[in-house]
Amino acid sequence: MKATRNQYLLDEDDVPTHWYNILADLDVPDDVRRARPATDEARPGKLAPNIPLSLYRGSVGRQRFIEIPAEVREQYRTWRPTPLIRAHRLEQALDTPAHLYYKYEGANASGSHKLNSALAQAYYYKKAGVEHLTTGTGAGQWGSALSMACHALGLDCTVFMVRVSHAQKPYRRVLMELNGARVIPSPSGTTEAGRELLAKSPDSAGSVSIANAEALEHAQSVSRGRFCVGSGENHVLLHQTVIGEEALVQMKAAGEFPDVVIASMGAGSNFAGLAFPFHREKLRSRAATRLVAVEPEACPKLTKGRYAWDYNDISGTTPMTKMYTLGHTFVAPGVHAGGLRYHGAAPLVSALYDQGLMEAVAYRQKPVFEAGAFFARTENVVPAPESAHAVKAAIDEAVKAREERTPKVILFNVSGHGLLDLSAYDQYLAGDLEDHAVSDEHIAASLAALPDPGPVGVTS
Amino acid sequence: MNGHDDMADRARKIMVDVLDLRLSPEEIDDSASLYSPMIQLDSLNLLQLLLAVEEEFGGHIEDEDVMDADLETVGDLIGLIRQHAQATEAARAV
Repeated sequence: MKATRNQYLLDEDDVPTHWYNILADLDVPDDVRRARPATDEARPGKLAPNIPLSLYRGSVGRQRFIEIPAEVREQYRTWRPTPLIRAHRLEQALDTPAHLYYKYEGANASGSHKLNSALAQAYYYKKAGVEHLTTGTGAGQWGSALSMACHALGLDCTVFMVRVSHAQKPYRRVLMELNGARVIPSPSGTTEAGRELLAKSPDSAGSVSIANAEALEHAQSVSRGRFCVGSGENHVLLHQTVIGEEALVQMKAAGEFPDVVIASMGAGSNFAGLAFPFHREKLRSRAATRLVAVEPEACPKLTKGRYAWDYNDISGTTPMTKMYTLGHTFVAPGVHAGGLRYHGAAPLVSALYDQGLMEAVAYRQKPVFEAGAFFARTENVVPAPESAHAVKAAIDEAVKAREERTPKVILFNVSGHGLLDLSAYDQYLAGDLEDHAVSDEHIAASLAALPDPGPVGVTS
Repeated sequence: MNGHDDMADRARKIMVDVLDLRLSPEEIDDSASLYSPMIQLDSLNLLQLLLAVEEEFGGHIEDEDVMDADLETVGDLIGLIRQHAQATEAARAV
């Protein structure tokens, strides 16, 4: 009897040598004439970039492939390439003619895809003379990854973790502290931004936007310190494309090309990581592959947000970028997929969505956990709540294929494991999970607080 | 008013182009704060501007030169650009 092939594995020498820059294949106006709010006030102080020029340079030009520094590739080789797995048991359980494949990014010490960018960023910041990195984290995957990268490269690390996730996922904090990071629940009394927020909302669940504001303020107070982020920025999306580059090779080994590529959507790094290289290949081969981002109904930035200039943080300190946003003051309900609670989508993902080159769907929390639990029972991998959004969409596509009797090829990203989210699965099993969605009024109120980009930034 | 200085003139022109300023290069005062309503530079615009400087003068600006720079005024920024342009020129001459 011929054995069924489950895993498509690559050798560590097959770790990609280059990141893929989608700007070579996406018509986005140069991000030069950026929005700047009309103001008559000159802020005091000195100006310094947050991002090293060498890190920034590769992510804003039109060069298609950016070489991965040897030191970063060497770090990648400790756990990459990650496996591509044919989900035979899930297919059988769904009785679908669809072929389901998933890329599994949970098999590194941080437990998610975030390490791909954390290591790269830590490398560039260290090379630029930075000694301390501060960041904001939602569910803690990014904070875990950055703490590990900082530890590996000898940098100090401070993480502002969204308060609701800090309470829901205590072992994430332990993981970060194990790697020497200082972890502060946000909003906190440590910063002016945190104190101001707490004065208004003492019971605030927090948000990545608030955590980023606190991290930014903290970084400015630390000698040779900088603030860095784990999603949204072009360079972060660039680093994550190793996922899709590997998947392209692995799908070729499987002898198939996906009809649909699915990933969950926080700010977009996990989606971009898998989907962007497939965007390039579908352009080249004129394939009709659909790219689908999956977001929670509790934070529907693509399906219900507006394409506008906005800040990345609640204090409005960061430069504005044009993105699909619910408004930088938006605070999503405390769903367990904390990594998907960010108010905005990455500018590159936003441009792709605006041009109709990708789709988006939104789900409530309970059906997402139902899909995650079903996947755990069939494939023996517990997906992170964020990744379970992609699993839910993949299952829906497979069921549709069954109903339509079409042998569709579906590729999705399991961006992280859920072993530090078992308390959330415990709530699901006990029937205690809440099903959050936000009202149109809630969204309208935060959109009303969008900043005026001034005449310079008005492009459409 | 600023005296004639070719390097500084080129630097001011880059600022006008990159930042889409509604004024002529000569109107940019060296003593103006980079945060002033006239310039309104932010950390990302600064990076865009430095990439344009690399395009104009060639070479790559070293990360540490930027991260450690003490930029407060237009004059400080012109100083950084001048330093890069001179270093690039010197490297070409070798």
